[in-house]
Amino acid sequence: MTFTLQGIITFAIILISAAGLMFFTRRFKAKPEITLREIKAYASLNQLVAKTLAAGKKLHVSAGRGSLAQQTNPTSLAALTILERLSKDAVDGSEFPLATAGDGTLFVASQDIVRHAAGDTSGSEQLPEGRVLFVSPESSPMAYGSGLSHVINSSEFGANVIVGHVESELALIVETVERKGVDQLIGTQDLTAISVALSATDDVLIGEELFAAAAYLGKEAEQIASLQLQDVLRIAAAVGILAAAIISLFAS
Amino acid sequence: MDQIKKSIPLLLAYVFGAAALIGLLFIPALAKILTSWVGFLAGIALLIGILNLTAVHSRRLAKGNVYSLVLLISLIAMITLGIADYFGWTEDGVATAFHYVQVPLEAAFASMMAFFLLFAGVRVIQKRRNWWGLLFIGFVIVFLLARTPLPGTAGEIYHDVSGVLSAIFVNAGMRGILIGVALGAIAVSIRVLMGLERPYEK
Amino acid sequence: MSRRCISCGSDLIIDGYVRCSNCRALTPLELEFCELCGSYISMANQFGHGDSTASEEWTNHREAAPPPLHQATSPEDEASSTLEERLGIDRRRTEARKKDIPADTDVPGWLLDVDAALKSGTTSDLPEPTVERREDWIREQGVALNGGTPEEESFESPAPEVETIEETESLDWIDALKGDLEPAEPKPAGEAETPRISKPTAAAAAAGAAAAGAKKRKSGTQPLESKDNLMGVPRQLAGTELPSWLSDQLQRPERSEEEVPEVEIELPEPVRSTIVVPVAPEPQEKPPAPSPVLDESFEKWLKDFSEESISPDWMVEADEQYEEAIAADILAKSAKTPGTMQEVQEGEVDSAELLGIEEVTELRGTLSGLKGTIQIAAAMSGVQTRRPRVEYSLSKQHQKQIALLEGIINAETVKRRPKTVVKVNRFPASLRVLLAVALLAIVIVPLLVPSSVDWISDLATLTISQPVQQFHDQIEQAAGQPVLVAFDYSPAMSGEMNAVAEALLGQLAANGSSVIITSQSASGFQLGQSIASETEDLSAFYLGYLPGEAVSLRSLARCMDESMDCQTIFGESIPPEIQELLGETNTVAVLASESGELQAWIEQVGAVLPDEVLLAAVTQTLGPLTAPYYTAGQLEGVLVGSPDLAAYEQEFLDVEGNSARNFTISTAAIWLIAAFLLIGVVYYAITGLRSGHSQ
Repeated sequence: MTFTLQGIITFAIILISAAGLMFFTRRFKAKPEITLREIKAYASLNQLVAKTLAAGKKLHVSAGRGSLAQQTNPTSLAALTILERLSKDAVDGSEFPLATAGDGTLFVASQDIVRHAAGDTSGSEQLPEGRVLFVSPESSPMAYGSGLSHVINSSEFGANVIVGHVESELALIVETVERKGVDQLIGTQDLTAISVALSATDDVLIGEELFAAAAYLGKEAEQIASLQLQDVLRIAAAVGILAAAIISLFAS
Repeated sequence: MDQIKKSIPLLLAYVFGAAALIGLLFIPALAKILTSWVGFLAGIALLIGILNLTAVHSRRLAKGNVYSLVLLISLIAMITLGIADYFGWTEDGVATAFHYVQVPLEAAFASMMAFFLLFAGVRVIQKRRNWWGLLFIGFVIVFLLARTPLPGTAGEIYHDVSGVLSAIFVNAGMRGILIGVALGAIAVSIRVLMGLERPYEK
Repeated sequence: MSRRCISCGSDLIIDGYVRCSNCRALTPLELEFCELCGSYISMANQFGHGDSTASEEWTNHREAAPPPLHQATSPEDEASSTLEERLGIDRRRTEARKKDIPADTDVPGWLLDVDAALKSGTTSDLPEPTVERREDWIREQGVALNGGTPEEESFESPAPEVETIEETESLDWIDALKGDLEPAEPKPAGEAETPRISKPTAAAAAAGAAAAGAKKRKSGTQPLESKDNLMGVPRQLAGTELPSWLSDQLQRPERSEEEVPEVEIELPEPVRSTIVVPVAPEPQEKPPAPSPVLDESFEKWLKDFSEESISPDWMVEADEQYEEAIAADILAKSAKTPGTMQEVQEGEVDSAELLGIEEVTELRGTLSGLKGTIQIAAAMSGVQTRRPRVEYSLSKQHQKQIALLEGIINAETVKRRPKTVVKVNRFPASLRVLLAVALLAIVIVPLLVPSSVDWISDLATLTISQPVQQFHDQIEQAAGQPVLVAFDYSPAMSGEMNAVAEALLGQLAANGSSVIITSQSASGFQLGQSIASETEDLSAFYLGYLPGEAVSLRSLARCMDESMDCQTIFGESIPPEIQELLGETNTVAVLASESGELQAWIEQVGAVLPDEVLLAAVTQTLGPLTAPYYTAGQLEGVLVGSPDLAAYEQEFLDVEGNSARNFTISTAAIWLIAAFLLIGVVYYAITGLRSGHSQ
């Protein structure tokens, strides 16, 4: 067993964060009065999905191509949360969504989520064939971009939602969606993809907004508490950066 | 039974999450063992994935799906080349196929991105006729030109100005986004470690 | 007929629904009576929304309106004629019909009884008119109006005479009157008036029923000064003789507002909550109702008709919620057009055909001589026929769909920033082709005729930025030492990154550095292996593909820290010579095209080995991402794509590669793109200004 300063600090941060999460969860359960700031993209997401389903059209949701077994795990988990919510909405609206994934682990998880949503509503977890598609392996971004473009071109749906880890290949996808004339919403943590997404639509979940999906869509105590924890960590980081800047200013 | 069915994955997640964390931070040997297991499991998963892929596309082929035929032929060809390379029957068979098939295909798609990004830029002008749209396009033009050589003193001044803009506004914005993403990732990871987020329970 | 409010000018017709001026509820256009309050809709619509302003307009209009037709005298003749024209009523025929129909036959016996009772003030003793009696009277009316048997009269049959319209209306009016006079008559729970209240308490239900009745009947006692003022009263009565009991009511002085009992109804919360959505019909207890026709409250509710609307809060809420439900209905209808309607839109089905009305040739009037006209009387009678109400049933699925629609409505009401995005239907194909051809030309022409872009390279000299300078310096410092080179770019970016990799490996070979080749992806390792094998004099060692991204990299970092203890990475055994080299390695150069891969190296290896030198050579798209890491010192040298490579080669390497030419071509392409964007900005600014001025 080796104790390094870095290891100890990391572990301490994790422990404190976990304690903070429990504290905020309890506090929220005791006094569930909190107003989440409006994130326009989530309001748009609700509207987009509702209109699509009300029009009797299908919804396409892609959870990106970030592997669950790698560093993109948190992003992909957030994407799966959105997929879960949209799948439930879609199944409630009597229409299975079309879900696509650009990674093997994500594909399996997506399939389970859509099947689970179907089971929750209709009691049957039987999915029609071709409702959850594996597009490409995670390591081939262009294969994912072109493959997803093909799926988009060859499918009929009313709204396109791409959330999760995507990069510059997003340019291929959004161009196809634009040509199809379908409304879209994009959420990603990747800076290149964010700039591409902003050129295509106003409805973009930028960076950390994506991680707030569980709180905004689920509104459960733990998720709200997680947001509060994020705020505390953010303030701590800001104070730390400011303090470091002042110290380095005086030190120089 | 249902309770057991639910609690076993949760227990495994708790135990291995904590073990991986402690191993990575304090006990490298434990981390090594765990990662070896992960590698082994990933290998098994890959094998199962290939078998599943073959089965699914065989079914689709039976229904007349031509793309499935292409996929199965490619799969068999690459496996055969790999075996042939291993036994020395061929030399760099896999590498040759890779260089003459996959690389040109992907590069072709990547080159199309230049067009699509240009279309996207024009579309921004078309659709977003407001100050934000103008700012967006303005910065695009500024930073595009900053990557090219410009003549004379004006060119030097331009590069200096764009460098300052990049260092202050672009870097600050990116750093903010990156920190936000990191904090979000921490929060999600802690939720998973504490069992509040259970993607494995679907 | 006007469809706009004369007080505010707003449109009273919304997607096939018309707003009732009395209760503000939306009612399907084809119905003549409001579904909620039963008021007569058609003519009242032009008088506003039922609010105080609209009521004033209503009153003003009444004052300004011509007197009843039968009293029309010369000063008001002009106005009344205009009104008649608007109503499409042939006055002479009305007068003639008045002569044909004796006054006594116009009013049923039981109504005469009512009249007498009202005059004598003994209303409570009056017998209730039975349904049979009224039906008899209807039959008699039919005979009197048509001069035939009631059996000969059919709603479906087209009737060319104006009188037929009135006759149809008279029947509707009877229906309405029947409904008015029988408030206690049990109704199916699914009917419009009742379904929004599922289980009211008995008292609340009684009060509610009374209030609803008051609202419903209010319009029926508008002073009968003109035909268009009639709400809930048949028009033929306005034009002909009125029942004397109604005349009496009209002649009586209006009571003061204080005399009108206020209806105060406070529904319990659970009841309110059930008002929103039509629910499945449930057998409910019939609320205690007043005596069917005449009781002590009769005069009160008659009086209520002429007063301002007394809408209890719960009714107002119900109205609003009802409107929401209707709006949701509209949305749902607009979302999915029924097949029949689509056929109508496509012109496959004629509207007359839909109504089952035969088209005839007009023989008189302004349309005289026109063929294929639809007889409006028949059309109206067809439309006005009340359809049997469909009973609502609400499954769990329906509830979810309703919640979904409510979500839409709520989302619509969310206050949003003003829309600044202009909806562009489609990117013009011609523009797309123009841009693509121009961009292709600017790339292909210099490849075919290299001298065509020489002027660009003459324009300015390439400059070395500080990150590039440091990249070079660190590679030079590692001369003779092993360097780990990670090929973490995808084959897609090989066009840009292969040149960078070749230059880097060439420099390392020239420096006598051993190179350990690795990658986080199988394809990346393949690319590295290929380039390394083609580099002359390079001492290359192949660590291989590292699956597991961050975990593998962390293991690798530990191997670099404790080389002798490291035999495997992610379960993969490491050859002994590479183990040894890893221990000696102090410099890591990452060739990346994706942010995830680069971040993994910086955050995993850089964190474990802070003393290691980490360098990055990336694509231009990834360039901006490296800036924060370079500024923070996590990257000690950065080389970004072909511009930096061209400068690097020109400054440090004695190589005449293609990078300078590629850079020149990419410069030309960038200028073209910038020019397009500038032209676009100017063009759309001018067209935007023009459209702004024209508006």
